[in-house]
Amino acid sequence: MAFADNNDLLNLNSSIFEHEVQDWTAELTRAENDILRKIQAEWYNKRYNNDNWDPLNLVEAQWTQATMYRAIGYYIMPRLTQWRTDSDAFQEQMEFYQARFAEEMSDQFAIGIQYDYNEDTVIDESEEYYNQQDRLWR
Amino acid sequence: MAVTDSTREKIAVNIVDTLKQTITDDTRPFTIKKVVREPVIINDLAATSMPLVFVQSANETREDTTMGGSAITRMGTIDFVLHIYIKSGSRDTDRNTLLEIIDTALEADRTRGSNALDTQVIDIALITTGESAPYASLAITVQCEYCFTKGTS
Repeated sequence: MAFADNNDLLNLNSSIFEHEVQDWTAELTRAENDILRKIQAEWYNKRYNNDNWDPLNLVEAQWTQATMYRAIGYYIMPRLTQWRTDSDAFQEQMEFYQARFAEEMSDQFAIGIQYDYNEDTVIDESEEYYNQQDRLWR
Repeated sequence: MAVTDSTREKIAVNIVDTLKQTITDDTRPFTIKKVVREPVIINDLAATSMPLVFVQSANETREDTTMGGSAITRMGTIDFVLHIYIKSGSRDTDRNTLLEIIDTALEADRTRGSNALDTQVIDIALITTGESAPYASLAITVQCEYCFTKGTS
Protein backbone atom coordinates (compact mmCIF):
# COMPACT_ATOMS: atom_id res chain seq x y z
CA MET A 1 0.00 0.00 0.00
CA ALA A 2 1.14 3.53 -0.65
CA PHE A 3 -0.85 6.62 0.19
CA ALA A 4 1.14 8.78 -2.26
CA ASP A 5 3.92 8.43 -4.82
CA ASN A 6 6.37 10.59 -6.74
CA ASN A 7 3.77 11.51 -9.37
CA ASP A 8 1.44 12.83 -6.68
CA LEU A 9 4.28 14.99 -5.38
CA LEU A 10 5.03 16.30 -8.86
CA ASN A 11 1.40 17.28 -9.35
CA LEU A 12 1.41 19.15 -6.07
CA ASN A 13 4.80 20.84 -6.40
CA SER A 14 6.23 20.96 -9.91
CA SER A 15 9.72 21.95 -8.75
CA ILE A 16 10.13 19.14 -6.25
CA PHE A 17 12.43 17.16 -8.56
CA GLU A 18 14.64 20.12 -9.54
CA HIS A 19 17.10 19.65 -6.72
CA GLU A 20 19.14 16.67 -7.91
CA VAL A 21 16.98 14.14 -6.07
CA GLN A 22 14.94 11.99 -8.45
CA ASP A 23 13.09 9.79 -6.00
CA TRP A 24 11.29 10.82 -2.81
CA THR A 25 9.85 7.38 -2.05
CA ALA A 26 11.76 7.01 1.22
CA GLU A 27 10.39 10.35 2.47
CA LEU A 28 6.86 9.39 1.41
CA THR A 29 7.16 6.09 3.24
CA ARG A 30 8.29 7.83 6.42
CA ALA A 31 5.39 10.27 6.11
CA GLU A 32 2.94 7.42 5.59
CA ASN A 33 4.24 5.62 8.66
CA ASP A 34 3.82 8.82 10.69
CA ILE A 35 0.22 9.11 9.58
CA LEU A 36 -0.55 5.46 10.28
CA ARG A 37 0.90 5.89 13.75
CA LYS A 38 -1.22 8.97 14.36
CA ILE A 39 -4.41 7.31 13.14
CA GLN A 40 -3.77 4.29 15.31
CA ALA A 41 -2.80 6.27 18.39
CA GLU A 42 -5.36 9.06 18.13
CA TRP A 43 -8.33 7.04 16.92
CA TYR A 44 -8.13 3.27 16.59
CA ASN A 45 -6.52 2.40 19.90
CA LYS A 46 -9.01 4.57 21.73
CA ARG A 47 -11.93 2.83 20.07
CA TYR A 48 -10.86 -0.76 19.51
CA ASN A 49 -8.45 -3.42 20.62
CA ASN A 50 -5.17 -2.48 19.01
CA ASP A 51 -4.39 -6.15 18.31
CA ASN A 52 -6.84 -6.00 15.43
CA TRP A 53 -5.39 -2.87 13.83
CA ASP A 54 -4.81 -3.40 10.12
CA PRO A 55 -3.73 -0.36 8.11
CA LEU A 56 -4.78 -2.14 4.91
CA ASN A 57 -8.39 -1.49 5.95
CA LEU A 58 -7.91 2.25 5.52
CA VAL A 59 -8.78 3.94 2.23
CA GLU A 60 -5.49 5.05 0.67
CA ALA A 61 -6.91 8.00 -1.25
CA GLN A 62 -8.19 9.58 1.95
CA TRP A 63 -4.61 10.09 3.16
CA THR A 64 -2.84 11.01 -0.07
CA GLN A 65 -2.94 14.75 0.53
CA ALA A 66 -1.82 14.43 4.16
CA THR A 67 1.03 12.12 3.18
CA MET A 68 2.34 14.60 0.63
CA TYR A 69 2.13 17.51 3.06
CA ARG A 70 3.84 15.46 5.76
CA ALA A 71 6.60 14.29 3.41
CA ILE A 72 7.34 17.75 2.04
CA GLY A 73 7.01 19.62 5.31
CA TYR A 74 8.84 17.22 7.58
CA TYR A 75 11.27 15.26 5.40
CA ILE A 76 11.86 16.74 1.95
CA MET A 77 12.29 20.44 2.72
CA PRO A 78 14.58 19.71 5.68
CA ARG A 79 16.84 17.85 3.26
CA LEU A 80 16.85 20.75 0.80
CA THR A 81 17.31 23.71 3.12
CA GLN A 82 20.75 25.00 3.96
CA TRP A 83 19.45 25.89 7.44
CA ARG A 84 20.51 29.50 7.16
CA THR A 85 19.82 31.58 10.23
CA ASP A 86 17.98 34.16 8.12
CA SER A 87 15.83 31.40 6.57
CA ASP A 88 15.51 30.43 2.91
CA ALA A 89 12.76 29.43 0.49
CA PHE A 90 12.89 25.82 1.67
CA GLN A 91 12.39 26.73 5.31
CA GLU A 92 9.41 28.88 4.35
CA GLN A 93 7.92 26.01 2.36
CA MET A 94 8.55 23.73 5.33
CA GLU A 95 6.37 25.93 7.54
CA PHE A 96 3.71 26.22 4.84
CA TYR A 97 3.40 22.47 4.30
CA GLN A 98 3.48 21.68 8.01
CA ALA A 99 0.49 23.99 8.47
CA ARG A 100 -1.30 22.32 5.53
CA PHE A 101 -0.62 18.92 7.09
CA ALA A 102 -2.17 19.99 10.39
CA GLU A 103 -5.25 21.31 8.59
CA GLU A 104 -5.60 18.22 6.43
CA MET A 105 -5.37 15.81 9.36
CA SER A 106 -7.93 17.75 11.35
CA ASP A 107 -10.27 17.84 8.36
CA GLN A 108 -9.98 14.12 7.66
CA PHE A 109 -10.59 13.22 11.28
CA ALA A 110 -13.59 15.55 11.30
CA ILE A 111 -15.22 14.28 8.10
CA GLY A 112 -14.72 10.66 9.16
CA ILE A 113 -12.02 8.04 8.95
CA GLN A 114 -12.97 5.37 6.45
CA TYR A 115 -12.00 1.97 7.81
CA ASP A 116 -13.20 -1.32 6.37
CA TYR A 117 -13.69 -2.98 9.72
CA ASN A 118 -15.53 -6.05 8.42
CA GLU A 119 -13.08 -6.39 5.52
CA ASP A 120 -15.71 -6.75 2.80
CA THR A 121 -13.91 -4.15 0.60
CA VAL A 122 -16.90 -1.85 0.88
CA ILE A 123 -17.01 1.19 3.13
CA ASP A 124 -20.56 1.63 4.31
CA GLU A 125 -21.87 4.43 6.46
CA SER A 126 -21.20 2.55 9.66
CA GLU A 127 -17.52 2.35 8.74
CA GLU A 128 -16.94 6.10 8.60
CA TYR A 129 -15.73 7.10 12.00
CA TYR A 130 -16.01 10.71 13.02
CA ASN A 131 -13.36 11.78 15.42
CA GLN A 132 -13.47 15.54 15.86
CA GLN A 133 -10.21 16.80 17.28
CA ASP A 134 -10.07 19.49 19.88
CA ARG A 135 -6.33 19.69 19.69
CA LEU A 136 -4.00 21.16 17.12
CA TRP A 137 -1.96 18.68 15.07
CA ARG A 138 1.75 19.21 15.16
CA MET B 1 18.57 30.33 -43.21
CA ALA B 2 18.85 28.16 -40.14
CA VAL B 3 21.52 29.21 -37.69
CA THR B 4 23.64 26.32 -36.46
CA ASP B 5 25.56 26.27 -33.21
CA SER B 6 29.06 27.69 -33.42
CA THR B 7 32.06 25.51 -32.64
CA ARG B 8 32.55 27.62 -29.53
CA GLU B 9 29.06 26.69 -28.39
CA LYS B 10 29.54 23.03 -29.28
CA ILE B 11 32.67 22.92 -27.12
CA ALA B 12 30.81 24.54 -24.23
CA VAL B 13 27.99 22.01 -24.55
CA ASN B 14 30.51 19.17 -24.63
CA ILE B 15 32.17 20.40 -21.43
CA VAL B 16 28.80 20.59 -19.68
CA ASP B 17 27.79 17.13 -20.92
CA THR B 18 31.13 15.67 -19.88
CA LEU B 19 30.79 17.07 -16.37
CA LYS B 20 27.17 15.90 -16.13
CA GLN B 21 28.27 12.36 -16.90
CA THR B 22 30.37 12.36 -13.74
CA ILE B 23 27.19 12.91 -11.69
CA THR B 24 26.04 9.38 -12.40
CA ASP B 25 29.32 7.88 -11.24
CA ASP B 26 28.16 6.29 -8.00
CA THR B 27 31.49 4.59 -7.39
CA ARG B 28 32.71 7.80 -5.77
CA PRO B 29 31.53 8.83 -2.33
CA PHE B 30 31.73 12.48 -3.35
CA THR B 31 31.04 13.98 -6.74
CA ILE B 32 29.38 16.81 -8.67
CA LYS B 33 25.62 17.11 -8.14
CA LYS B 34 24.66 19.81 -10.61
CA VAL B 35 26.13 21.52 -13.70
CA VAL B 36 24.66 24.80 -14.93
CA ARG B 37 25.46 27.50 -17.46
CA GLU B 38 23.52 30.26 -15.77
CA PRO B 39 24.85 32.02 -12.68
CA VAL B 40 23.33 30.89 -9.40
CA ILE B 41 22.76 32.48 -6.02
CA ILE B 42 24.37 30.05 -3.64
CA ASN B 43 22.10 30.96 -0.75
CA ASP B 44 19.03 30.05 -2.81
CA LEU B 45 20.31 26.61 -3.78
CA ALA B 46 19.05 23.38 -2.29
CA ALA B 47 21.60 21.64 -0.12
CA THR B 48 21.20 18.63 -2.41
CA SER B 49 22.42 20.66 -5.43
CA MET B 50 25.96 21.06 -4.14
CA PRO B 51 28.70 20.53 -5.18
CA LEU B 52 27.68 22.62 -8.16
CA VAL B 53 29.66 23.64 -11.24
CA PHE B 54 28.79 26.80 -13.14
CA VAL B 55 30.33 26.72 -16.63
CA GLN B 56 31.02 30.06 -18.27
CA SER B 57 32.41 30.70 -21.74
CA ALA B 58 35.04 33.39 -21.25
CA ASN B 59 37.85 35.14 -23.10
CA GLU B 60 38.92 34.08 -26.57
CA THR B 61 41.62 35.08 -29.02
CA ARG B 62 41.32 34.42 -32.74
CA GLU B 63 43.73 34.61 -35.66
CA ASP B 64 43.86 33.65 -39.33
CA THR B 65 45.78 30.50 -40.17
CA THR B 66 45.34 30.71 -43.96
CA MET B 67 45.56 33.57 -46.44
CA GLY B 68 43.40 34.54 -49.39
CA GLY B 69 40.27 32.98 -50.76
CA SER B 70 36.80 33.26 -49.33
CA ALA B 71 37.06 30.37 -46.89
CA ILE B 72 39.82 31.53 -44.57
CA THR B 73 40.57 29.14 -41.74
CA ARG B 74 40.91 30.73 -38.33
CA MET B 75 42.16 29.42 -35.03
CA GLY B 76 40.54 30.28 -31.74
CA THR B 77 41.87 29.86 -28.22
CA ILE B 78 39.04 30.08 -25.77
CA ASP B 79 38.92 29.92 -21.99
CA PHE B 80 36.04 28.33 -20.13
CA VAL B 81 35.85 29.12 -16.44
CA LEU B 82 34.35 26.41 -14.28
CA HIS B 83 33.15 27.85 -10.98
CA ILE B 84 32.84 25.18 -8.31
CA TYR B 85 30.71 25.70 -5.20
CA ILE B 86 30.92 23.29 -2.28
CA LYS B 87 29.18 23.01 1.05
CA SER B 88 31.09 20.63 3.22
CA GLY B 89 32.81 20.03 6.48
CA SER B 90 36.02 19.08 4.69
CA ARG B 91 36.14 21.82 2.14
CA ASP B 92 39.78 21.77 1.15
CA THR B 93 39.88 18.03 0.59
CA ASP B 94 36.56 18.03 -1.27
CA ARG B 95 37.68 20.87 -3.49
CA ASN B 96 40.76 18.93 -4.49
CA THR B 97 38.67 15.81 -5.08
CA LEU B 98 36.36 17.71 -7.41
CA LEU B 99 39.30 19.22 -9.25
CA GLU B 100 40.63 15.72 -9.86
CA ILE B 101 37.21 14.50 -11.05
CA ILE B 102 36.87 17.40 -13.49
CA ASP B 103 40.42 17.15 -14.79
CA THR B 104 40.10 13.41 -15.36
CA ALA B 105 36.75 13.78 -17.10
CA LEU B 106 37.95 16.50 -19.46
CA GLU B 107 41.17 14.64 -20.26
CA ALA B 108 39.20 11.61 -21.50
CA ASP B 109 38.54 13.44 -24.77
CA ARG B 110 40.70 16.47 -25.38
CA THR B 111 38.99 17.06 -28.75
CA ARG B 112 35.66 17.84 -27.07
CA GLY B 113 33.75 15.56 -29.41
CA SER B 114 35.97 16.41 -32.43
CA ASN B 115 35.21 20.11 -32.05
CA ALA B 116 38.58 21.17 -30.61
CA LEU B 117 42.23 20.51 -31.28
CA ASP B 118 43.16 20.40 -27.63
CA THR B 119 41.84 20.95 -24.10
CA GLN B 120 43.93 21.82 -21.06
CA VAL B 121 43.28 22.93 -17.52
CA ILE B 122 45.54 25.98 -17.34
CA ASP B 123 44.62 27.73 -14.12
CA ILE B 124 43.11 26.97 -10.72
CA ALA B 125 42.23 29.84 -8.45
CA LEU B 126 40.24 30.53 -5.32
CA ILE B 127 37.17 32.62 -6.13
CA THR B 128 36.99 34.08 -2.66
CA THR B 129 39.68 33.77 -0.10
CA GLY B 130 38.80 33.27 3.53
CA GLU B 131 35.27 31.99 2.90
CA SER B 132 33.23 31.20 5.93
CA ALA B 133 32.35 27.59 6.66
CA PRO B 134 30.75 25.50 5.33
CA TYR B 135 31.12 26.98 1.84
CA ALA B 136 34.06 26.84 -0.52
CA SER B 137 34.58 27.79 -4.13
CA LEU B 138 37.15 27.37 -6.85
CA ALA B 139 37.59 28.67 -10.39
CA ILE B 140 39.13 26.25 -12.89
CA THR B 141 40.13 27.73 -16.22
CA VAL B 142 39.97 25.29 -19.10
CA GLN B 143 41.55 26.37 -22.36
CA CYS B 144 40.49 24.94 -25.72
CA GLU B 145 42.10 25.48 -29.11
CA TYR B 146 39.98 24.98 -32.18
CA CYS B 147 39.81 25.80 -35.87
CA PHE B 148 36.91 27.12 -37.84
CA THR B 149 36.18 28.60 -41.23
CA LYS B 150 35.72 32.35 -41.24
CA GLY B 151 32.05 33.23 -40.99
CA THR B 152 31.03 29.85 -39.61
CA SER B 153 32.47 30.01 -36.09
